[in-house]
Amino acid sequence: MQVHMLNNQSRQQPPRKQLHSESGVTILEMVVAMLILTIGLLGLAASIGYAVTVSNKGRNLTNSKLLVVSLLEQMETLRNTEQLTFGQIANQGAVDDSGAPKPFLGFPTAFQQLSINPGPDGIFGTSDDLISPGPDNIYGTSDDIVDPTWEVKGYQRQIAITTLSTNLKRIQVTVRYPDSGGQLHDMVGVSYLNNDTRSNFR
Amino acid sequence: MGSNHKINRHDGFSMIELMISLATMTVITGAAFALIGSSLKFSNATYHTTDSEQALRTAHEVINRDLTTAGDGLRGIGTIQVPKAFVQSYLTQSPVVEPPTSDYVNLALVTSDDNLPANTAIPQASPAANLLAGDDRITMLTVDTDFNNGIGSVSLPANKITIAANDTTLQLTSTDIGKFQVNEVYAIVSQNSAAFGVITAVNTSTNTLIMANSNSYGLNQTGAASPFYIVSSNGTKPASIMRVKIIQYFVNDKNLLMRRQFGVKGATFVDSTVAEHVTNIQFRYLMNLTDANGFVPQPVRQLSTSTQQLAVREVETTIAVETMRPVNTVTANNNGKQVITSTTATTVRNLQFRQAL
Repeated sequence: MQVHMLNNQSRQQPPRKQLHSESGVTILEMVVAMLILTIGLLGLAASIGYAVTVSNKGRNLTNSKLLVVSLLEQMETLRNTEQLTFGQIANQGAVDDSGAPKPFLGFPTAFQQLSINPGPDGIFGTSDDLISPGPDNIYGTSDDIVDPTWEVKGYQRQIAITTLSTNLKRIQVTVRYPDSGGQLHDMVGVSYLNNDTRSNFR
Repeated sequence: MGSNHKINRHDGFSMIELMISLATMTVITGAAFALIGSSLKFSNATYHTTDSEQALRTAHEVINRDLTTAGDGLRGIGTIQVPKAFVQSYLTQSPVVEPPTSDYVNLALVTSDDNLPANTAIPQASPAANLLAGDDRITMLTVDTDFNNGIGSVSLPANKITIAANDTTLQLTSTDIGKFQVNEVYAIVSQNSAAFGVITAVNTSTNTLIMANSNSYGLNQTGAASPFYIVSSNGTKPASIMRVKIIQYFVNDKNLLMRRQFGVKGATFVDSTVAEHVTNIQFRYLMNLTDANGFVPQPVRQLSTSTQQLAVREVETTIAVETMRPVNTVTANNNGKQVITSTTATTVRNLQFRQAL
């Protein structure tokens, strides 16, 4: 009896549970595990694309910010140098030319193509920015042309000037730029301009 | 039969199962490695591009700050005269000399230098380097208001400047003499003009500063046409000693954007690196000028007359920075490096007071 039990134990000693744990994994289990791993890796791959997108976005934002700031700087310059009077720093239709040395049409309200040059009026953001003096390099002659090579491709800019009081204006500059996928985005910058040229230098 | 089944459970994978699982494993591991490889490439590219963008932003920021303050404190000074030789070797290839025969340049608050030729050595650069060919240089002036404990100047009563044949001597008080060191650059300023000089000797027993002509910069000059002579009317007018900073930006052939400042404590000038891997820097100048028909000239790359120099109202800076390592496919025509360019314009507020006031 004891012998039999011993024999029995020697053959069947590991209980059913323990026996099961030695059985390894089935092929099905492995396939499922691999599927999960693959999905995880695909998710990781998607995050790389995201990183690249964010990096491109950062570059676009930096460039657009510089374009916005340079226009806001120009408004301050126009006031400081008195190239335009305070009343002339306005959108088309809202320009007050009184007391100004020469008339100014105003900044268009719609989005404008960006130009590398300011055109005959010397002011960026106006409707004549793409007009080149032509081969003779003199404005006002018959060879003045619209030079498409001056255009900054893909970029557009809008200027909105609001008069808040007699001595304060709100300047809002929007730069519309394309991302790497060609989709358009807007960057908006706001600044306030007072009518006090001289206080800057005291 | 039950025992048979139990024996079956002891069996491992069959050869076929093992082969299939190994093959699948290999494929997936391979794909994972391919993903990791490209992800490393991407993260590398992103890192280097971000680094370049940062350098670009810093460069713009630093230059813009100096442009904003250019001309600060120099409002009452009409002319700043400097020997032509100094301007040609240190500041610009084509100084504006009016009249053309003059040996002295009326230094503008902003001086341009367009399209530098190849193999132009940077004077007194250590280690020796050339300017990057085809690039621009910009020079501007600002008063160091911190000098003399915030007073900004040391005053010299009349008859304290002695102009001899080969040197100029400035007679100071015992309190002031300790503020000066050999090799420092100062501006001697009177009512309406200014001149630059380098201190070649400081005599603490007689409380004198000596600016001898034989210095390597050629700034110190004597004679009836020399700026020292004119500023002080041969020493008879009162004047003051100011520390005027001559700030210059240029890119050297190691692609470093450098800022050189004359008018510093303890040395003639200091060079400092602003940004690395700069491949191009260009400046354009927007002017407040109109022709007879009311048209405004387009921005220029070189200020060629004193009228243009005085009319500068905005400076447009374009900087190109490349990545340190290749991030794109390297071909025979390109080195795989990504070049990032950006442009901005800064108003030179302190230069505009001449028009505004």
